[in-house]
Amino acid sequence: MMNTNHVNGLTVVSIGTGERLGSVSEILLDPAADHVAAFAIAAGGGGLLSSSTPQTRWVSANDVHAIGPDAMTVENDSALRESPDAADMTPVSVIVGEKVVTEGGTFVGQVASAEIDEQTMSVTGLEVSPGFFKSNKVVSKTDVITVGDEIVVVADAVCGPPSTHSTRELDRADETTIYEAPRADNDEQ
Amino acid sequence: MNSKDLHELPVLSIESGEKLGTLARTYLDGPGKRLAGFAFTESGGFRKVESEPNIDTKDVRTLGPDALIVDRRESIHGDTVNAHYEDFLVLDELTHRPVMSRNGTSIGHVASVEFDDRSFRLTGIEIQHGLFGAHEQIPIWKVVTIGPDYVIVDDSAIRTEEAPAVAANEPTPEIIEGSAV
Repeated sequence: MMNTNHVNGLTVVSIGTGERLGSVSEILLDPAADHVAAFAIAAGGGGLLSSSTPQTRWVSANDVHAIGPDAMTVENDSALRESPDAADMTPVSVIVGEKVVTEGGTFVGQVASAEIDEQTMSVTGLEVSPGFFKSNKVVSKTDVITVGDEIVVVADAVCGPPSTHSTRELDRADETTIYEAPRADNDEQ
Repeated sequence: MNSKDLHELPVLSIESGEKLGTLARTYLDGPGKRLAGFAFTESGGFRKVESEPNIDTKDVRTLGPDALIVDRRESIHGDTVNAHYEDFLVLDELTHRPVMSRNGTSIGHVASVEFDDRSFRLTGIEIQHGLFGAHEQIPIWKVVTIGPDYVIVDDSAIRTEEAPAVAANEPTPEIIEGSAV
């Protein structure tokens, strides 16, 4: 498994020529956000001493040989395309920041990144940030119901198992028990 | 023979017994994985301008540990190097070039190359792992491509402590309970 934050910025290398073709600038998912469809590559330019600006090229996910810890490799530079194969693809950067809520309406957090299987190019989960001072969590793709333009809806199970206790209005006896019962520390005084 | 042994090697004429100069550069045919030729600095002197003629490997009579020997000055043509000069890599520029596996794992950088001193074919490359890391010989059959930016090697050239260690050390986010993975 690999995080899209790791893939972004990764150097793209041609195995056939040993050339650096560019670096990954965007990851594009299919419309259902189930699989990685393509990668946008910032090709050429961009160096400290280079006056030329990088051009965006595209590599289909099918043309990727491997995504490793240090580089993405393709068989040769013919993998670079002038335009993406399909138009209706969702950039991961668009999903990042979207609010994640459960079917029951509970706010879970915001999408921080996606987890992908670099072998099959399938999206295996979404990394969700619940907010400051809380560690990020990965929601399995099987629990993701909808990836919308503004909100990602996930299964209620993401927030833990549903309560087994039924709920009801407090009656008079409950209120007495809760609010009028003598406190233990008062008794001691 | 190792490419480090070529540094400023004297070029001798066996017929005249004179030193013609010292090796300045070695040219490498990357796709062919062999040395293509050399350039040597021909000493200047009285009414003689210093020059750097090219030597094809076929012009070489012997390449030994202490000298590169040619038959005579006139037998040096350098036709192949002159014709394909821009296609060849200068061996010094190959040194320090990063080495990457086919699966995208950085392995180190080129420290030197080993070659057969008769056929001039490369037999292996010496890789240094990291700045102060250990050196390792990789046989030439594991070298996939010698390119302008990277030397690509087969995945089997990766040491066991390389690729997995990088991924395994990355902190993994907490998995939500009840969420199937």
